[in-house]
Amino acid sequence: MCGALVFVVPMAALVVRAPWRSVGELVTSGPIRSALWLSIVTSVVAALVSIVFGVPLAWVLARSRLPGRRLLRAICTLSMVLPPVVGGVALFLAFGRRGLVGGSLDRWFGVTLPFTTPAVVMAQVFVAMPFLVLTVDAALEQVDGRFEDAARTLGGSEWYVFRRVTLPAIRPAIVTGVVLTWARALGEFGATITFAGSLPGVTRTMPLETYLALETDLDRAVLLSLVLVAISFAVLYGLRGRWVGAALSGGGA
Amino acid sequence: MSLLLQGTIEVGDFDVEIDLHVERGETVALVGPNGAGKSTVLRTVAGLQPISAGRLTFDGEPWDDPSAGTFVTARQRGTGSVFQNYLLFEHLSAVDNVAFGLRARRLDKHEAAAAARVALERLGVGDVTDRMPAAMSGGQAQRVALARALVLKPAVVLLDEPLAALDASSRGAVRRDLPRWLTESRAGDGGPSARIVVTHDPVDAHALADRVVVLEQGRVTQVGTLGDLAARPRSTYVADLLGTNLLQGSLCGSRFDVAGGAVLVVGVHDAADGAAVAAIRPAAVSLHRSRPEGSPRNVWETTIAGIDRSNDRVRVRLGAPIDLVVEVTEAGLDALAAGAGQQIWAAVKASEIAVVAGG
Repeated sequence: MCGALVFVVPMAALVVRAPWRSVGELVTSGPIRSALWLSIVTSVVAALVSIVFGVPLAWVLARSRLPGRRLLRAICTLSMVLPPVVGGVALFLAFGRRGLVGGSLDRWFGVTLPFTTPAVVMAQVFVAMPFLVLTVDAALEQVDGRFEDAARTLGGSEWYVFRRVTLPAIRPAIVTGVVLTWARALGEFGATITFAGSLPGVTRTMPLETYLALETDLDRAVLLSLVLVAISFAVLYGLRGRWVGAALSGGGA
Repeated sequence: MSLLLQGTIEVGDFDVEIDLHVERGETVALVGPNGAGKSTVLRTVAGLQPISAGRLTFDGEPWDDPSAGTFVTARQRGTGSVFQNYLLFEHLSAVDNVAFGLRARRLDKHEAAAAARVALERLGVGDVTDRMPAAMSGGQAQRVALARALVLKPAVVLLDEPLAALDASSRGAVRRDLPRWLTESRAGDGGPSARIVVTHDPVDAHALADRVVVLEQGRVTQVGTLGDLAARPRSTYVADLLGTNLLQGSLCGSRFDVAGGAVLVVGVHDAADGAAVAAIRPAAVSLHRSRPEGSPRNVWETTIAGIDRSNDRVRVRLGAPIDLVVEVTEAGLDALAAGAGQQIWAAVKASEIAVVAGG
């Protein structure tokens, strides 16, 4: 029970200290609205990008006979345990104007990534996509291959089998993975501030705004924190229902 | 015009040596104990497991020939498989399951659904078209799985333990109908299909198959009709399981009228009255020089038609009124001092006779 206090006391402090009287006027203030909007857009885009790249990556990790598959899995999920600041530094060295890839991007296409909104998305994808990859990878390992074999004997191409048999089986895992990825992207701080900076309206997301507000206006910082708490709580609550749903519809194809 | 499989299949450190030949229009039962490699053979024919040496051809076309580098994929072979536990797609209704292969062949959605409905109707499950697999009985799921395979008009039909998962009541019905569905099914070219049924039940093998191939520990130990196997079993497995006497007849309560005139009293069973098959293990029948005293309900006098010795077992074939194979020990035969042509008394307990509906 004492352990629970570790979580309960800080949350209670946030709620008690909240400037409830001025909520309306603070929420509609310009900086908070633009930060919230930026956070929502970038985190949703990061989640979508993670689906597009993460599901095929998970498939390769779970199903292919690629040599070095384990090493690849370790590299692809390293950012989950890496300090986000290190991720930001790595991204900067890769995509900065003098970076490994960034130099060429700048020279050939005139594209500069750091301190732009796409850089925010990249930082979020880098840090959050492993949640999706690991969840889907685990689900793919557990899919009963006999159903896919049955589909092959019925004349299904590999893509048809994946789309109509494998995908429905791993759909709950994809939903769970996307929600976790999105939540992690929403809270991203370290890699974002390192790689994308903190330009108001361009790269200053909710967590960055919160941190900066703490130095000037405590009420705003508390309110921003509460908004993030509310979103996180809603995600957890929604996921709980998803896990129950997954258990009910799980198994079989 | 047939399916030919000759070669070695390696799965991990287990290997199967197989020599199998199935004519189109014929059903071959592949029987054997658990882990003998029966399902592996089916997977090989379906194209889900390559052979490591040898050759698999259908109608002269090579399907798998490692020495020539030929391998036709499962998708291109288009065999009709009914898997153990059916493997219906849980997230699709009956009609969508049956339409699955048609859709994979790019048939229009409505045409595929219409063809699927016809196939379900033909197998007597036209009333479950919109039902999900989880809501089907075992018998319904079995028919849906069969419809899913047959709707594609496969030239090779593979059935893995088609009756094992059914309860007693639907088992009888499917055992009666399945041979008809199989013989009526047509391949895409209009000809009959070549069929392989994996089973470990001699009654099922009897009901479904023309010939039996026995597979034990990855090796074919015997090939022939059930009659051949019962009379001359070449292994203990065949003697114990396939050497079972199967008698055709009709059932009425505990009374079983053997085709040919004799009457047997049978034990507790859940088969419906009507056509039925009685199974009697050869070792369950006792032989006596004179009419035996005591409890056996079925006692009759008969003649010894012949005596076979193999694998230190002695099998005595009895003649009219009931053709039976009886297993005795060498010592037991000595005690009877019996020879072919001699009169003898046979007895079997009612509880030793298993009956199943159909036949």
